[in-house]
Amino acid sequence: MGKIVYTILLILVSFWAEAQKKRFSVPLSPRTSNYDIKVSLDTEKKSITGSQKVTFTNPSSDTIWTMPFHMYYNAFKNNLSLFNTGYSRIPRTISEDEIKKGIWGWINVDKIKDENGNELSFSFVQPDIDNKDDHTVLEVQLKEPILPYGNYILDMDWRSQIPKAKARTGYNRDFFFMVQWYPKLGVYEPAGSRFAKEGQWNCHQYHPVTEYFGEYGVYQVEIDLPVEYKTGASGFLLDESINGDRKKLTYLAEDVIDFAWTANPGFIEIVENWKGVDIKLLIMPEHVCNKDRFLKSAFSTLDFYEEYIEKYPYPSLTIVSPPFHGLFSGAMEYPMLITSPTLCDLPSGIKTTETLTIHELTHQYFMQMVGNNEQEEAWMDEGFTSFFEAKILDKYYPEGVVNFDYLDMKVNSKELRRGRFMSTNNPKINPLSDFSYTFKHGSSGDINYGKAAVGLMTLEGLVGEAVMKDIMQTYFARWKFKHPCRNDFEDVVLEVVTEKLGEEKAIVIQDFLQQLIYGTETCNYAVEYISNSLIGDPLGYFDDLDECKYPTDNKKETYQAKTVLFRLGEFTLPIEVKIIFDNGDEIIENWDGKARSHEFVYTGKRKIASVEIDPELKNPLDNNLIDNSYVIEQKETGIVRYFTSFMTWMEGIMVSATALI
Amino acid sequence: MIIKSLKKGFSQLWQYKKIWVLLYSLTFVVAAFIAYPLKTYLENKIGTSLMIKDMIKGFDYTLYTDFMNHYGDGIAPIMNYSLLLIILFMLLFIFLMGGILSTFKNAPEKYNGKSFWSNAAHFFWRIFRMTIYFLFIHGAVLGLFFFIYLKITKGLSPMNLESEGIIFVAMKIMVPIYILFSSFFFMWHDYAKIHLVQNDNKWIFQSIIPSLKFIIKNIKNTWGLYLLNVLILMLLFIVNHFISNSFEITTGLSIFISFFISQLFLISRLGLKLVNLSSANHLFQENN
Ligand SMILES: [Zn+2]
Repeated sequence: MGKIVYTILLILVSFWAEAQKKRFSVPLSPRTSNYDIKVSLDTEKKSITGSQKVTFTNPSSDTIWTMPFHMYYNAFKNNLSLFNTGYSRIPRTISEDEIKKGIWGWINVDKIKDENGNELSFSFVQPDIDNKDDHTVLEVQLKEPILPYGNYILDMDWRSQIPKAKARTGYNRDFFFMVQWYPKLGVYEPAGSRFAKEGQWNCHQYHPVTEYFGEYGVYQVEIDLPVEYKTGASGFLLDESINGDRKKLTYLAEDVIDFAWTANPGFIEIVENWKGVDIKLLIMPEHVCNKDRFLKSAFSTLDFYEEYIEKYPYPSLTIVSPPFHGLFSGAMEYPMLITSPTLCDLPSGIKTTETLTIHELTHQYFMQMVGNNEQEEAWMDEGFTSFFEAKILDKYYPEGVVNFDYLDMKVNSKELRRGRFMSTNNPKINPLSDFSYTFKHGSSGDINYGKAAVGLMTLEGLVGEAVMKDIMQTYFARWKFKHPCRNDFEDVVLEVVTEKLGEEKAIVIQDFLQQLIYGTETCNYAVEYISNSLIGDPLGYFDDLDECKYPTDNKKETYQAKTVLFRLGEFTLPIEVKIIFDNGDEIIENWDGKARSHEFVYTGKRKIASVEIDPELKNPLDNNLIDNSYVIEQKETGIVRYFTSFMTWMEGIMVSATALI
Repeated sequence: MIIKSLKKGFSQLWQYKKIWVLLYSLTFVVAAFIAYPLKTYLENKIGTSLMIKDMIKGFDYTLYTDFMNHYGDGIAPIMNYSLLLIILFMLLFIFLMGGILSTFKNAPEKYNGKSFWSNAAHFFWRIFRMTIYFLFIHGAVLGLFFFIYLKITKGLSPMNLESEGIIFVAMKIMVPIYILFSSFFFMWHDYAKIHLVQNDNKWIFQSIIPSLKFIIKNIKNTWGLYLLNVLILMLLFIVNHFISNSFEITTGLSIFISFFISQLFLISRLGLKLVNLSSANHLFQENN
């Protein structure tokens, strides 16, 4: 008996010791907002009861009298919330069945007390859009203020009805995906930080098109749920106890901006280790076939960042691959927890699983460690992640992200990102500098992801890969565990470019960033034509009217070889032009790209054979790469291949169609 | 019986190879007429770009997107024109069908152009009308399968399905069943045409109904023969798949070889089509 007790004790102690090792000995972040949360999940009623102690440290010299909390679940409380109506105030479609059964999601705070036991009053406020039916921000009136740089503690009791399969969160059947699920404190921005002219809370309502913003802190979360549920969460498991058919799990996540968790009895748990980081894959049995695709892409991403920026600092990473009926979770990023749906029956040539894993994992760096405001400047994480996603995929998956034997189709990620952006119907819809929650008419994806990513690719083309890496490293080092805005990124870019490439280049880059971030124009340069004209001998009368010059037989073969370039877009940037002559000579010319047209002229025996703008494809923002080059003598085999293929398809279609006769 | 009919099919194919040549030439010419405007359009719009050389490597996504974004407006008219030509081709094929089936029926010593064309004209409207009727039947069969598929997969909705497995499993099970099931209707269509030409019926229902009775009465032979023909066609597809994937296209010569192989494949498909009709015709004659 004594032996058993001893063994159990030993296991417990070693578990405790193991868990303690995962704590950071030195905090990574300022730990401004810390949460100690206890929740109980009712899997039958799909509801939660919770209590939380929030410890806030005033980061400013201001005296603060209010505290706003995000109440995201209230976006699903009625059909007139901002989330459900957008700006039009016309409710979006909600399933008849749910309306009839009264299935809505909400969160309700029952009681708030301060450290001295004062009960505090609170009410819903609408800081962005005046819509009283929107209850997604709760403002607490404090009885005693938060003093400059002082600490303040709140205790809150709350309950929530989990929404059924709504945007990114909720439940379906017995899959629970718990994100934006607790009252989350806004971010206090001291004067001078980001766009704040004076100290202010930044706590937007839940807008339909944007994601989130949170303050750094430590989350200790105790979850009480039925014993058969498999779980995953931000952070690592600190403690676990079983009591009958329920269990209590305590997770600890340090230096993060949010906390997410998931529970589902059907999950299979696959645990691997990457250089001391526990990688946990929660996956459905029917998706296990793709487990290596998740793990390989996750490992590659972590390897990439270790080399490119710095090693992933957290002790754990959970990858959740939701069941098919849990697709509402989408592909999303939360601190130390990402989701990436997969399907085993998709052809292996389509790299969706890898793309999503790499993209969401990249968010650990951009939006989690470098905490931009996703509601205001989504491009500062989505654009960055899309930029890196392409870089990582093209490095580790050179076979392309869409790859079919048929017609030797092979599309790499960078190409795909550019092509998708260039194919948008309105690339000028709004500038990156507009606040993201105001993006309308589907522009969010095109601009925040597409334009920003292709813009960053072009920036890399202009400064070179090495300087781009310097920029990213400097930006990360300076802004990790802080909240930068676009000005801060621009400052870093200009500082690094000035240092590495000189002031003249910095002026060019400043002009480029100005157009990219604040403008809506598109870019297109074209080679209009090449002409090689023979310069004739002088003919006719010159100084002496008695002497007429006639054509002679010994002609000099001198040409005026000329090419004319057009600027067809409004976005300007310097371009390189490669000119190849008929004798094989090759030269690179430079044009500042400002005028509407430009020419290069050469006199001599050489004729121009071909002209190519931006031969190294440094400027993927150019929306038509076909007109970037001009060749005098075309080899038509390419067109012939398309012609014969097209003809063969048509024959095939025709013969197949005769089956109907 | 089945093998005998099949043999007859192959021998008649060879005996009347002129029909075979005619069908292929028609397909080739119409396809060339369809594809040529595309070639001219590509040459005019992007013929001077250096990106043309990437086209030899196969599908180029960047070229495709930039082309569609900047010159794509010209593609829709070309496609509409292609559709028009395909419809014209179908009408011509309907026209030829009467000639083909009459030739198999009458089995002259050699291909007889005069009687071929006069029979083609003679049966045109009736085969045309029959094609329309059977279009509805084939459409109804496909619609039925699609409906059942949506029922089984609960409208493909993630909210209602436990997992996506059923979507693919149902597909994998239903596609072969559909092929088997619908093949019956395609076969019926074949025998209806044969019946029509054999009896020179005035009303097409005088052929549609009796041909169904004939098939059912001789179901083992009729369907057996039809499935055998389908099987040979599938084998042809598999062989073509392996051959066409076995070499890379990098030069003008390889484009030519690949095109040549694709034409051989097409000729074989047309040949098997004739074999199918001739063998069914033989089976019909032997059992009547
Ligand atoms: Zn993202």
